[in-house]
Amino acid sequence: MALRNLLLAVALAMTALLAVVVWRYPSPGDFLSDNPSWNGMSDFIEEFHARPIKSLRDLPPAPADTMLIVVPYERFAQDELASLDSFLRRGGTLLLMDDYGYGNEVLSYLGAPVRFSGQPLLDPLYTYRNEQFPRVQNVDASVQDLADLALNHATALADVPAEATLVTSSSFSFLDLDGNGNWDPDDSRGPFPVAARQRVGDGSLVVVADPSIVINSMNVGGNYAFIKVMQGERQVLVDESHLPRDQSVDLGHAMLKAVRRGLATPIGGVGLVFAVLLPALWPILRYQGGKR
Amino acid sequence: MRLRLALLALFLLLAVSPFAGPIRAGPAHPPHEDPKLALSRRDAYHWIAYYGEVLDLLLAQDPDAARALLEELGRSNLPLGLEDRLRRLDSSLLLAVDGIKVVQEAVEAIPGLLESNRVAEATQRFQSARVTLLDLESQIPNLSAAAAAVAEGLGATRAPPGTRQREAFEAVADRTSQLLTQYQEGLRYLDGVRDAVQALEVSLRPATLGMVVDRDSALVGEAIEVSGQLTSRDEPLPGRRVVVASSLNVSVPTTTAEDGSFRVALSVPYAYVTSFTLWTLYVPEGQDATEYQGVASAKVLVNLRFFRTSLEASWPRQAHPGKPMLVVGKLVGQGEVQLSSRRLRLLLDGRPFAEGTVDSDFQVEAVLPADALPGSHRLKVEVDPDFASSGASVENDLDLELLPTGVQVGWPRVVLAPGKLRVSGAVSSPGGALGPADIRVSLDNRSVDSQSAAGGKFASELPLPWSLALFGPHVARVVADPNEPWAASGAGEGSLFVVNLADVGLFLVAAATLVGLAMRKRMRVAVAPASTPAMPAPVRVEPHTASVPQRPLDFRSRVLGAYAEGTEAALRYTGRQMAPNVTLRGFLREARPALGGTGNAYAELTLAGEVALYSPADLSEEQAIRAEHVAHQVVEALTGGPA
Repeated sequence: MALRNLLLAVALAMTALLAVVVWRYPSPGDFLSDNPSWNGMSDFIEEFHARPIKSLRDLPPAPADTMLIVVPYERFAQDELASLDSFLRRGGTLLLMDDYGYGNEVLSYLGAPVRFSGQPLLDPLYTYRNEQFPRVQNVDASVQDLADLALNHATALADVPAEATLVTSSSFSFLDLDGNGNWDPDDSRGPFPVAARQRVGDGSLVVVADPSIVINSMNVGGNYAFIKVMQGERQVLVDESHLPRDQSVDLGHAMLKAVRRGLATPIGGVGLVFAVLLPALWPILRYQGGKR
Repeated sequence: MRLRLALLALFLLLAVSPFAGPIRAGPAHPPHEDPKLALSRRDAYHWIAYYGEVLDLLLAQDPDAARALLEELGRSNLPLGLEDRLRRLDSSLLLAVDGIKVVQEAVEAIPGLLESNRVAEATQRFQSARVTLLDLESQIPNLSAAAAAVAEGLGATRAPPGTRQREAFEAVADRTSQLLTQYQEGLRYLDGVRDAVQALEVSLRPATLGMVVDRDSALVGEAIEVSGQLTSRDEPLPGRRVVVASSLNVSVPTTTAEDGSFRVALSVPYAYVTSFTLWTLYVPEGQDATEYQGVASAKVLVNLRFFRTSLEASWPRQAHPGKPMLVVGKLVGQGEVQLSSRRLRLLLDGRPFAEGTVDSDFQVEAVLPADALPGSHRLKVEVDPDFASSGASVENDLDLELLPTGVQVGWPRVVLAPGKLRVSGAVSSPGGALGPADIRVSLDNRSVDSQSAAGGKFASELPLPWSLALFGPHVARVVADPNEPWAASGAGEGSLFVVNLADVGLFLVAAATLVGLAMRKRMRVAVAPASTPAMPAPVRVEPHTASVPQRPLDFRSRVLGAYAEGTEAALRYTGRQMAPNVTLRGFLREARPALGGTGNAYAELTLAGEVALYSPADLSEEQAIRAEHVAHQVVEALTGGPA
């Protein structure tokens, strides 16, 4: 009996310790605000005094002085799309950065003609590191004085109105349709628009064909300067509710948070009361059962 | 124990599952990589291929596109160690681009010139194009050598046949020789042009066109007189159509008089530039087309005069969308020009948003566009030209910002949950009175929306639901979003303490449970025998009365007492000792053979003693009575009478 109790106590203590470690361990997830690694956004958050939000319900009711950054790697619910639409129409600035995620669903809902092509954009000559890191040029007057942007495994934009184009790739860039890494006659040739801006309602929709320009390791060239121009004097919010979340530590975080949320609900609360009372009432229940 | 663990696991599952959310499909990993680990590569194939494309564009006679591509190549990441070779190749290609441009323009112009019999101009063009083509032809070896040097540096010349870079290099060599062929074809075409020009020169009589302008400078809007004479071999050509043309895109046709002379007045357009050129043109028509050459006069430069207007204007560096802004300025004219009733226009980022008529000193109040976004903009003030007075403009930065909105809120220090958080307050702005503003009161992830009334006052109630997380110090927030375009949203925060009745109840339950557990433990320690399975001391069993209810712990001690009584009789009867390390059952095994017919009863008593010692289950009164009964039998059998 004593050994079993000891084992149970050790198991509970280990579980609690593990939960604390998981809770406190910095997340390695892509684009996460508390990830100081190459693929996180901790530098960006500090540089822009940005505030991560866990839900689109946290959007301000008066968004005119707010810029929301969305990396749509998770599907959007209808009410979330409606929140984005309302945010824009009430004067907010939405910076939608995607390459192979669900950005086109958002654009379609917002009624914007622009689309993410979803094809890999390569540039063998005008690059930051190699062809997977195209350097792109600012063409709009608002960003023309900035250094070139450096992309990281990007795509291109399609159906961009000419006056909406902010940034384009070079003439050497191409969409690698056959995936062989080389330009072939069947591959579409650049220049392609990679960033565009247009008005939606009272707000401003900025579309960028690569979300990676904001990660810690891509604070190069004009990447952050470009975001600063888009930001102006606005407060930057970063939506973390649609980021990729397949990493195990993130999953652990998410589970712990779900447990915490669950315990705060009426059902969870009743369950907690039950769990507390059960050990105390157990002898009485057993005695009653024995008598029957 | 297992049941408890199972219940705990079930509870955790129940608590988590409704809120963990569905598993959603999505791209597993964003396609990016750490740039520090990404290798730079020298891409021989694409470099050579894109130079091949420049040659393609030259072969397609599109020198502008070729130049743009070359400039872009120059901005690319040049392969280390090949910079000089690439610059040499670029220079050779740029020479070709410029030359082809000259030839192309000549080739395009010559047919039109020949059509209008302008033999002299056609000859000039032809000669220029021919010299250029001969020069380009001589440059082909340099171009080939420069391309080969680049290809060698990139390793394409050593690449095995059939590889992409080798094929790209061979394509470049092939296109270079095609370019040479094209130059040679161009020279042959120019030889044909020369024959046509010479034929016209022989068959048509040359014409001469002189032109005189009555002044070398003129005021804008003024009429100037242009005169001249058209002759052929010193004979006047009367009744011919002559066109006076200008670089300001104004032309005036006229007809020569009997003596071949012409005189025409040309109004100088309101173009506020320093000078322009004039020339006259004669193109033979009708029968003249087969008799005379066309001719253009020499060009004459005329200086332009106008009254310069200078504009000084100032405005605040900061302004607010939808709010009026005062622009103060002064128009200063050159000389004695009166500056009054001039048309003035205001533009924000090139978009006009206000205009009016002003005099020399002016103050204009204009409302800025309500839809202008906060941030840095360019404001331009421009005055239209007015006859001889030029227009003027000034441009400078204008920062548009929203005026802050103040939010005063009255907060309760303590609120009860479940319940309602009642807040009231007022919104105000230094920009003036606010209309109804959208108000949002939020606490954690709960919020309620309302609107402020006249005067900015508002009152809201935020329901606080049944939630265990809502307890202790919290920060509540009120955000006001005015509908005025110049007003920013404002926020107010307040700290309050939430007393959650559910949490208090849970705490009390937990505390009561802990107290109960502690008391139960203490009672068990006080009543229960020692937990070590040593030989229990004999317990004197008092006769009990059935009418007095006894607690389960008393039954346990009665059973143990009965076992002790029976065992004492067995020890005496068998003359054995019970060592401290011998268990109850071990002693039974040793003593049973000696007990004879009483062995079964003593075995039952031993079993009852084990249950009383080790089982966590409470014993019943029946078990106690049975044990006492069996003990009585054992004692009676072994001692001949009750103990």
